[in-house]
Amino acid sequence: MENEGSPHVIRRTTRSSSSSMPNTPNKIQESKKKVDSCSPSILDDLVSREEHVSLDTLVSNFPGRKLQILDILRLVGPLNSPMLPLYLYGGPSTGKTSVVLQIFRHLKRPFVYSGCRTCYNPRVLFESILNQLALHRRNLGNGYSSAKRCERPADFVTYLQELLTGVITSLKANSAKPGLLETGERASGEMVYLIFDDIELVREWHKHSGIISLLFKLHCYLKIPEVGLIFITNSSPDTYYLDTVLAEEPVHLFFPDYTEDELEQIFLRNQPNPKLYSSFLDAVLNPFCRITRRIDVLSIAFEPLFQKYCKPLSDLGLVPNRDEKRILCSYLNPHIALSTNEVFKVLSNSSLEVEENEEKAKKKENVRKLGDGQDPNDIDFHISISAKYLLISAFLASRNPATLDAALFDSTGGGDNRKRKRKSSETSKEQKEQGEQDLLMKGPGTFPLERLLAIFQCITSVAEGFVEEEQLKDGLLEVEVGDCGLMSDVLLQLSTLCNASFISRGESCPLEGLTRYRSTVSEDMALKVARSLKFPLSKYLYRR
Amino acid sequence: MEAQTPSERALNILRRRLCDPNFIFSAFSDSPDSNYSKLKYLISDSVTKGCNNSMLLLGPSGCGKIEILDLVLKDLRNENPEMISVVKLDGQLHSDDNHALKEIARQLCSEHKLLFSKVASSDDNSQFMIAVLREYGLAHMTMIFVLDEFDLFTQYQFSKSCSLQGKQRFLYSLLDAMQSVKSQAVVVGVSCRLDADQLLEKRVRSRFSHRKLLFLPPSNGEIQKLFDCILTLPADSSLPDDYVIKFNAKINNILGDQRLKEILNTLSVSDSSVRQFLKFLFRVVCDMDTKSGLLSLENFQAAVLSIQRQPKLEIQRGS
Repeated sequence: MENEGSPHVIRRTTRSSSSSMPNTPNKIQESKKKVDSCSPSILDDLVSREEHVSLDTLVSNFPGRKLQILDILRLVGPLNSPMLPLYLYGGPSTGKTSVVLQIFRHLKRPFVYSGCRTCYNPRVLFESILNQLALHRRNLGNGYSSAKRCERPADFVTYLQELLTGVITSLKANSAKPGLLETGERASGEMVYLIFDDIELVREWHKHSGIISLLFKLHCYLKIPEVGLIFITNSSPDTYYLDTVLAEEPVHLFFPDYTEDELEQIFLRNQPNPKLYSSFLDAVLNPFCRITRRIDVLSIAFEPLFQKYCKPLSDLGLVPNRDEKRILCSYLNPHIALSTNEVFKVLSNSSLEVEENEEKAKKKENVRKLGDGQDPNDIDFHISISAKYLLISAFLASRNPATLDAALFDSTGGGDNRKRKRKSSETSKEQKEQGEQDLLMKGPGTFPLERLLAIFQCITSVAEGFVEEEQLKDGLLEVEVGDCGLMSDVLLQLSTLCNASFISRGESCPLEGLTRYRSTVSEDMALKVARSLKFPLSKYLYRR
Repeated sequence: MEAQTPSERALNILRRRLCDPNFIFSAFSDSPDSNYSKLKYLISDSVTKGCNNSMLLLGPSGCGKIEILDLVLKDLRNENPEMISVVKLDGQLHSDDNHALKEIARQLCSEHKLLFSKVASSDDNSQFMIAVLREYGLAHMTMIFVLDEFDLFTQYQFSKSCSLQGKQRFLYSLLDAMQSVKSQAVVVGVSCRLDADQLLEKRVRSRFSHRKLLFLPPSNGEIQKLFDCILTLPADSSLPDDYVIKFNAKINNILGDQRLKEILNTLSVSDSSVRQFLKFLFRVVCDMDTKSGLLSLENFQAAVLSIQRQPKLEIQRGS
């Protein structure tokens, strides 16, 4: 134990510094002196090496999290008191992990942290926990091997039990020596806490569905009262009911999203000129809050905006008065719209349930508005460009008979051929007038996914040529198209459109067994969307 | 650390109690027709008479099946040491028959201070188990197998689409070994599936006795008894006497309150298991005001609210 002392510091440093809030860099000071002065032991290794924080600084470091911090402290309890497993949940970037880690820094109790994002399969997770408990470091000397090779849950439980009993006996022996406690630098208490972060990811590990219930039942298996378990996740507890019907249900604690005021407090921390920044936030925070309250997204979006905000100012230490504020705001306003668009796009691509739901709700709302007849020429809801193209191609696939596809869309998608092809479709028009009437009565036809994708590819390749021509005319469009590859996440977009009931998913074809889709948008709507893209939809329509 | 206030020490005592299943379920053990007494009679009977036995403990999760079994085994071990050895398996961890046999061998080795070989084949392990069973029979000692999540032991082989012979092989080989060798063994299956015995296939079922013990969620009376038993501070502890008296009086006061009965009712509507009740009390105790060191009815009200959270709603609201 003694001889493998100092190298541990490195590991701890990386973990603790990554865990701290990004806006408290001044707090992260690795106290190397401490390591030199006292001989490292099991306690030092499992306790956070950072400076001790008092409760007041802890609370002030996390604006808006006071209730949660106090709750966690109460549930974790005073020294040497056992606890039931704790389950912390809340949206992404609401400070769950950092609050917990800072609390343990405050309590100075030994803990083992393992994030299921870095520990990407059961074996890595098990071995990382066991390594931390056994004070084992993988290095060149031991060929980067773990302390124990452990793949199966049964082995994990056995090893964990052995190691934990060892650690706890040594903790008890240490706390029995009063001399060590007085130094105030040692770990306190006889409890060891195991913290599991991001456990929602465990559910996605294939063939390892048992792991999540293993984690939830861990304290029944271990039966050691000196072990506290803390689970951190961003999905709500009822998502686990299926996995853990039999398992022990932990004590829940919810981390709500930050409110606007709290966000303001957070962003105002560590600002050189808080007055100026707060006037900037007044202008910016409200529109952004409607889209997201994630600090990580917001801070990225705010940085360039603040620079633009400050551009007209000569002196950054200035405190703007009311008129100046108004001028600055009007200068900033166009950028805000642009930037919210960007944030929105990022979110719509990431498959976050909640945001998607919000988005869908918005769309539906707007569709209803359209139905009321407001703004006839303009679609005022946001969907990404590729989704618009997808919508159009679905409309085309539903409207046009499949046999005409080859005529309408050249495989090269060249714009030059289009007129000739269209003429040929015009000549056949009269002969098939009766058929058309039938089609109209039948309503939109169904189509397989392959056909939709083929049409989508054709019209996007045409459109890209288009956009290049019009780049100079329309700056905004260029920005939007330039950034996102049109083919990105098509299937995701399709499922979004299905969910938003723009496209309906029919039952599978009895012969082919493939799911068939049907576009449910009206022609007016499709034309509107096409207009917003400057896409010549009418040229591709079979009848017109 | 030495300068803990009485209220902190009281909090510590209460938390220790809540996290210690032995304490909680010993409250159920005194009445003669409780599951505890029945189970104890069954097991001690087969220990003293030296015969094989098997039984199932069934009931919804969180009602203390395994905890009461643990309590019984602990008591029996105290009463006749050197007569019993316990092997515990869990359906979640050891449902694969190779792993289960290995785990049995490991536990037996560690109990008898033998060297356990990790590389031993499943056949070796099963031979070892039979040999130990035989020795136990000769020495008139009883081996008790506890199979937690018994239903998973019956299900594992279906998913693997093995040959017919492979179905429930572990259970079969265990029960068969018990019968063929002159042994003394008790198999206790624990499951929250009430139809667990129907899941057994024929050859296993015929070797399994159909003794079942049903565990039910506690009744209102039992809940109140538990409440009193957990939250009343002991008089002979290191705590100052006047504080203990004040605290217990307050608890009695709350227990008599009609509002508490309503709270307990709402709690038992959603889930009336002991575990849910303990979770509730844990929250209550955590919220205890450390200055006065007394529990108040507000603590109970707050705790029931926090247990009845609706997570989906919270996320939708975003606040």
